[in-house]
Amino acid sequence: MLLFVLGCLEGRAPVEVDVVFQPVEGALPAGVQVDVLDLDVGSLRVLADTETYAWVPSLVPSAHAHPGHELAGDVRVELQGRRMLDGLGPVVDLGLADGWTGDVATARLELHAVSVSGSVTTADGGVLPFALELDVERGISGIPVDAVLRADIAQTFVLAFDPGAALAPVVWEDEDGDGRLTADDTQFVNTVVFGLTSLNAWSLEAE
Amino acid sequence: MVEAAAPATSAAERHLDREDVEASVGTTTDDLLRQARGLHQSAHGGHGKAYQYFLRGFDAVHGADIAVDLEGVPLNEVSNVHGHGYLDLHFLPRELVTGATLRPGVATADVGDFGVAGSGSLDLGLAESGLHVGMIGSTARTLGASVGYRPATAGPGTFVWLDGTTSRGIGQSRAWRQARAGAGVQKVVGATELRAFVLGYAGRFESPGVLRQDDVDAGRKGFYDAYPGSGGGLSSRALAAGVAETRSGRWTSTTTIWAQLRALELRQDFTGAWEHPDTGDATLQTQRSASGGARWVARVDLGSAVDVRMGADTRLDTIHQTEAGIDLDGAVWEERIDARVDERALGAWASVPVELGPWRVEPGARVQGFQVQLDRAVDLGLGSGKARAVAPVLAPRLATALEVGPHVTLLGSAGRGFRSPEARGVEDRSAPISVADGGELGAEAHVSDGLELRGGAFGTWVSNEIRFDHAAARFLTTGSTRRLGGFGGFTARPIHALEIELDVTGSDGRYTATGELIPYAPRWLVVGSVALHQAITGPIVWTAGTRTTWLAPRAIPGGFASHASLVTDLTTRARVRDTVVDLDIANVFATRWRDGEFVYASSWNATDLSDPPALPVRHFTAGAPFEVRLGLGWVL
Repeated sequence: MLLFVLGCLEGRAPVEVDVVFQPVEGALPAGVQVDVLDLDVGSLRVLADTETYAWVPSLVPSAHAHPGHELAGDVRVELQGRRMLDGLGPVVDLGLADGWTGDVATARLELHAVSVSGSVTTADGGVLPFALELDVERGISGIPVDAVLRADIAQTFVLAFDPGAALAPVVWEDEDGDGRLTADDTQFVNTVVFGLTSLNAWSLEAE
Repeated sequence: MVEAAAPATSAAERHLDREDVEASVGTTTDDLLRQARGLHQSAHGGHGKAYQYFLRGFDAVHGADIAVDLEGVPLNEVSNVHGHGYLDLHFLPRELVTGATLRPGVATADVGDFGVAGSGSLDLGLAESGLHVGMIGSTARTLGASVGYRPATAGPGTFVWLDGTTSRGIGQSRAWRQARAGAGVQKVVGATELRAFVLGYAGRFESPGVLRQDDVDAGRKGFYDAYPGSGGGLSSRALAAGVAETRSGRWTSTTTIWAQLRALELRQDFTGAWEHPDTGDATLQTQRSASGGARWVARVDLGSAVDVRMGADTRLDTIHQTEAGIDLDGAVWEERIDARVDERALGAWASVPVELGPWRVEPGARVQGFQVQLDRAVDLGLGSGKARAVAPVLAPRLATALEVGPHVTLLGSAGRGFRSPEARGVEDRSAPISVADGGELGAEAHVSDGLELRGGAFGTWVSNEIRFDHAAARFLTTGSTRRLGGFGGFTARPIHALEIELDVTGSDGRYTATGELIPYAPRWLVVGSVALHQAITGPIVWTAGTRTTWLAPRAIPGGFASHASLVTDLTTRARVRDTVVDLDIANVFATRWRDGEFVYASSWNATDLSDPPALPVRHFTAGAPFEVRLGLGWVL
């Protein structure tokens, strides 16, 4: 009994969190019709507030010389692996992610590539088809999430993607005048990437 | 050995004589340090690398906060590439340790560099005269032989010793081999006792490093397995020293001069291929050093109630150290450090022990200076360059004792401990010294001939904790810390030759700004031991000891906690005339305990090298497995 009392030190416990991808069914920008919106994504990581390490100096020693010089880092939940998501499709269960109990504050999703096609009706009533296959290779950092991970209940993270919000900033301008929006239309490409990596398009909710 | 034992300054202090050494569990000199009350050791580097030490809320890493000397020769290595204060006792045969003094806290002015959390002194010699011949074997596939000699007419300081051991180890990547030699001479010339000794050591060892807990849970790895390329090393040392003790009237003085050559090569990888997916994260560290120094300690008897103790010491170290990234074949792919260091230390101290009836008080102070010169040919991120700095420190000390009646003594102490600057972090004219101010109040009670009680409380405050960042080669400050704790225990001798001890040490170490626990430092350490000192049954003289250690969960950075561990060791010696049989059992109950736990991200089996895992996972270093070691020896 004495040893139990003396030994009481509550540390983080491992948890498994189910992660679900859920495209939002909402309004696309006016005149936009999307036929394909495939997202090639990598690991999803849910992070603690960095305040957890208030005592740690700004420079963090590495583990070169010693185990333990390497600090735990802020990642609390990780779903590793590369997968193709249909941004217009149904809800998909992405699987169980390993993690640790405690508060989480933000998430980061690796976006490797995107394939998007459809058409947009221009102000003069014309229809511009668009088709784009892009290597993005960018992390979407700072996706807000407010949750406390617990070991005593089953928890699910819903990774929501809003195509409407993602495409809202896009400039549908046929710069080269070829009657199509393609990778050659710089402003179109840049704003597609901007929109797809925008925090307005992504959210993570705990259920 | 030469100097008279100083009075106790802490109720937790421990003096070991040769009988105590023989009854102590473990087989190495490093294991003897476990006898220090409140000290925990972790062996994450295999048999040949210095242990990691934890004492009273301090993570002393490889010796940064614990000063240990052998006959006045400092054994901590300054600015070792693997860790400042690196304390490796593998070079010292346990058979040549005739006694030890282990002191938690810093109370007396003689304690110098690295005396932050505590200090220890080891005595050298061969306790018994005659020809010693021994053989050992163990279930770890260990084979060894030793031979020693001390003339019948000579003191313990006159000896020769030679031993060699090879072991495959239990589990993977745990093989080691070593050869050691030593010789000493002790002679009295007039009023002066002269002693000189040389010790040599060469060792090669593998290191199992860490294992991921999830790999063990999934059956991908066994508890005593290791990852490919987990590490190992080479270590060698040659140490020579001369000691002269002179008594003349009211003066007693001891002068020690010493010189040492040292080489260390360490390969290690604790993160797999996490940081460098193509080559792996393994590193190679090398250290070559030549060191020398002198120490003078004197005592002047000014009467029955007052003495003056004083001393001075100096050491010089010339070091060449390197660090490089290596691949699985051991080939260097990136040079990270190539530096030469010259470090000089000079210290002087004095104290005045005064006895006023039942009260004894010893105020004192030490003044110490360090000069560090660094010449970097390569230092990744910093480039080449030179730096030179001087750093002084003044360390007041106070020890006091009050006899309260015939059976109870109250003990108090306060003092400043310090650690020299680590050379690679020195910038021009800037060399921060780590300083810790601490104190202790305790009591010991001799309730009867067969029962002693002890207990006390201690505190240590560090105004600005200095940590050395090996990656950035910079000193970093992490703010103020404080360590508050207590200890208690008893020693019972219910019958002749039998001694039962229990010691409990609790320490709450925190960063004062955030209240977070200081990571890795034990919060509770409970040690129970039973020793049998030379009990005679018929023709057999028995010496035995058992020790059970319970270590409470420890804080790990990031809000994690380690598991508790419980381990029992046993040693037994039976002697019939000239024949000695030793039986040592490590981890008697074969518990799978973890002597170190760490939580961080690593990558040992990642299939996607472009996206290594970032989730921290639990890693551990396996504690000593069940091992039976049998020794057979003769003293002729």
